[in-house]
Amino acid sequence: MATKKKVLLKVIILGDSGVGKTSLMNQYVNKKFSNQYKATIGADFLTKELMVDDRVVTMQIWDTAGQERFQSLGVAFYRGADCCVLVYDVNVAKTFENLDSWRDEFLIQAGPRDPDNFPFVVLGNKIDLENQRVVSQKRAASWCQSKGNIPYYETSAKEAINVEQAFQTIARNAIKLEDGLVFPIPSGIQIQPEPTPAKSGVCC
Amino acid sequence: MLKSKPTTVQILSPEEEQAKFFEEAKNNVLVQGHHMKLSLDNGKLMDALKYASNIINELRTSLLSPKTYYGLYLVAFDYLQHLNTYLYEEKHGKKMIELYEVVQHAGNVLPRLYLLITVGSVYIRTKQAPAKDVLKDLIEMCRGVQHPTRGLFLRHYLSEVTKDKLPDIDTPSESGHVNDSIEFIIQNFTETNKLWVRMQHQAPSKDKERRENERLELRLLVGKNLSRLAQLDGVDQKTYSEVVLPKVLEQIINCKDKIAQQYLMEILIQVFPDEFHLATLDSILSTCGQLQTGVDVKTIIASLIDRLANFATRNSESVPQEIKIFDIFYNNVKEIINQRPNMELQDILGLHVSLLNLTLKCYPTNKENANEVLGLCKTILATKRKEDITKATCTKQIVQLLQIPLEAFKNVLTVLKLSNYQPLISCLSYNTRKKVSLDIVNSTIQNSTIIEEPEDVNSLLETISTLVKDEQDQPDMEDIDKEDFAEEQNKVASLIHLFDSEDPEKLFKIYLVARSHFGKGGQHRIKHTLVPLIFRSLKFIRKLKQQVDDDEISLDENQWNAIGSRIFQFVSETIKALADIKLSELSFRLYLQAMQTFDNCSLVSKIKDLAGKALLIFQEDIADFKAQGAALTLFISTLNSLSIPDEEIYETLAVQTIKQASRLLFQDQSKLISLCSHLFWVDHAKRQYKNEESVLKALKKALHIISNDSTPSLSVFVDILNESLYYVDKNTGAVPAQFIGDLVELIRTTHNKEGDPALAYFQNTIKYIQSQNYSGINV
Repeated sequence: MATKKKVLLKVIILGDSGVGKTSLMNQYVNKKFSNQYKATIGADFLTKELMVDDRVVTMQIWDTAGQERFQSLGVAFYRGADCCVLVYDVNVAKTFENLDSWRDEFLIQAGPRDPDNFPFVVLGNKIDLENQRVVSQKRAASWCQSKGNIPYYETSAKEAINVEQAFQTIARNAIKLEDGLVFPIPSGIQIQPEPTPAKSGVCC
Repeated sequence: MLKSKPTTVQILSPEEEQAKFFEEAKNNVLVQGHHMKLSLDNGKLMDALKYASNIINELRTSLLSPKTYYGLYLVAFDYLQHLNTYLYEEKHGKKMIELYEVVQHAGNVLPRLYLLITVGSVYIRTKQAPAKDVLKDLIEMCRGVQHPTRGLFLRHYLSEVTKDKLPDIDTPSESGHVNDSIEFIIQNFTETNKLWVRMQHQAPSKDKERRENERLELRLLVGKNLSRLAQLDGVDQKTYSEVVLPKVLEQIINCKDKIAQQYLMEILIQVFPDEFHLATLDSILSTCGQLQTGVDVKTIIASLIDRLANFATRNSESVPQEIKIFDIFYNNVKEIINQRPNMELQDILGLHVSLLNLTLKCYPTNKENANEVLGLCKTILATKRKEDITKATCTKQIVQLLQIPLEAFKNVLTVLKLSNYQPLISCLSYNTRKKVSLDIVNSTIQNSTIIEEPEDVNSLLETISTLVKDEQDQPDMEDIDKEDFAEEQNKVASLIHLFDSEDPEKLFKIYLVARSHFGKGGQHRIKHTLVPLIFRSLKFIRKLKQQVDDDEISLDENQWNAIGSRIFQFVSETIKALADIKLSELSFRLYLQAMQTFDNCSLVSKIKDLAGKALLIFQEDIADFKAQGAALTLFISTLNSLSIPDEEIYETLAVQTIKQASRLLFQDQSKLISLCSHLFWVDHAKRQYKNEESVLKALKKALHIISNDSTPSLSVFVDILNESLYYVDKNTGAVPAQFIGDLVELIRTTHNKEGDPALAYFQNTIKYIQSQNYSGINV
């Protein structure tokens, strides 16, 4: 029986300061949560092994500083990413509104081969503070749909809600990219670009 | 002769040059990395180590900027991770101690140390040596690299690969204790910081700017160490206060470097949790006082305050009672301002804004703290020059200091109780004072704050005095936008509706206080502010009368008359103020309004006086004919409506009215005189007064006047006819049938001109007469 080669996946977590990027990573990797806020400086990764179907996958999860001033060496670590996780806080509208610029920034800086099909996953975090919520599930879901059907999860790093499921999806989508498969998009939603006439090699 | 060869010199921009150097180095890393992986796949560890060493050789470059170097470091890092995994997982048959020896034979110091760290981290992971020993060895070895950029990245690598192997609270004691980790990280932090600070002194001064930019880019590698300390579970609040913080602060102070101090203080505040800061406020703040001149201490303290204020907002119940957060900040800030005489005023004010926010978020109901902050600010401003205080940047902050309490307390009364509030306003320029005053007015209106105490009204109006009266430093009236001014004054005027009290004594006192302020407003302001005050006072006396009638308040007639006199005096003086600035029509109407109110309130003795004042204005100050007609019409109907029981007084007034009517132009005179007939036929619930003879006399006089006009107007004749018909309709007996018949005949024969627009009016009146079938009138 031929054993498949081990897979190393690189995942980048982005989002505004204080949305819970570090907490999500810590909950997923270490099963720990703390209410204390500590800013992240630069980027920091943790690794976690997991099974996706029958394969052992090592996921290198890069947690990043939400505050630009703590990113003084730039974002060269975006390069080689297999999936980008965009996190916002469902209780703070601005963090949701900024998802666009995080996504754009990532695509510019990481320069993936096929930007239109690069796998993103969106996490709406801190749903445990339900009564303070300002961004509805519907609003977030429709943003995700408009960006090419990005998978969307509502999570609580504090109460470990949907964290495991979200990272499973992250790994699964990342591995598809790694395997060179086209990221599948349901046919009803994708907007097909106008077919452009093939360039003729011979000029008359 | 030598022919010169054509040369092409390619000039690259610095960015292109960096990209070129990066590509070259990266390609070398990729090639060496590829070989390394192949060797590992084939189990040739020694070859792989050689290739790994070649990879790291590329990091010996001095050509790359920090950001580009970081990119290269990341590529190399990926390969070293691969090696790391192999060393841990594959059966290469070597003991780690052997490998640890082997890699030390690498020729160059940089590859040697990267490999040593790589192997060392696996060494710890395989538990073949106690973590603390390996860590100690590695950190000592790293001293071998003293080049700043290379050293900083090497130490970053050390920190990165050992981060999950540091002894922490759950580590078995033979591997090490969390204190070993703390010591390890602090040592790395100290060494990293030294390398970083040294950069400052290595470049010739012309390169200073570039060098400082590079330093700023590299700062992350220093700050990261503090973040590692914060990640240790074993660093609890106690360990932090007793072990970690003193060492970190010592390094920050001793490095005596402006850039480092600024950055590290901010990082320290950001990476450790709020609870830790609350327990160590004094140490942090007193350190701020010891930083180099030129360090922006204000930003550091403000970021700490903002953090803690947000923390207090999120966890109001967890603000510890035993820690006097405000007192500590207040005393330290005061101290720091004293210690740093060159601190910019705007920064000093910025600190006050932060302090005020802090206390109002941590202790939302505490007024003393807020007042203390404003007081400190006041004291400091007293020592500054006016031109410094009125700079836009400073003014903005003082305005903020004044707005924050309004927003926090949502009650102007609470704000007015802050004794340092008003003095702070006085420091500002005219326009800013006006702006703040408007903020106060708006806040009062928005929160519908009812002001019940005369002292509070006094204090409010004193505080917003810029809006209430002329000030020495105000611009010329011509330079003030009329619409803006009117809008402001209307806002001030609407405050009067919020002055209210259940206690009539107090309320009247409030009106007296309000008038004493508004009365100083000058002609442009009082026309806005005194009118509502008059209406409010009239409403006040009506309500009081109602309460007396309903037996809610018991007053005998004498008492009531006494009160009435006081209010009468107040109202008539106030109207007089408007009359004095020649707002004649307005004050005339206000007198009439007052006459009706006092009449309703059984205070008829005041009416003669008020009517006299109204007529005086009519006589002297209403010049426009049209306005005169309108005013007198109003006067007649007002007189008619009153209950004046004293006929003598009434008749005097009626006679005076006719006298005034006689001063008008012929046409108006005739019409008004005919209207005066109503003064002699009063028939309503309050009063009966019937003098048929005088009614007819007035109508005849009116007719006489219009007949003698050079161009008698048909419409005036018809007006008189209609007035006469009123008395017929009411069966008064004042107007005989003969009079109507003669009048119709007169109009028909003398004044019935073809094409007169009043003809239809006349014909309609005739039709009306015919329809009524009056006995004895046949037209």
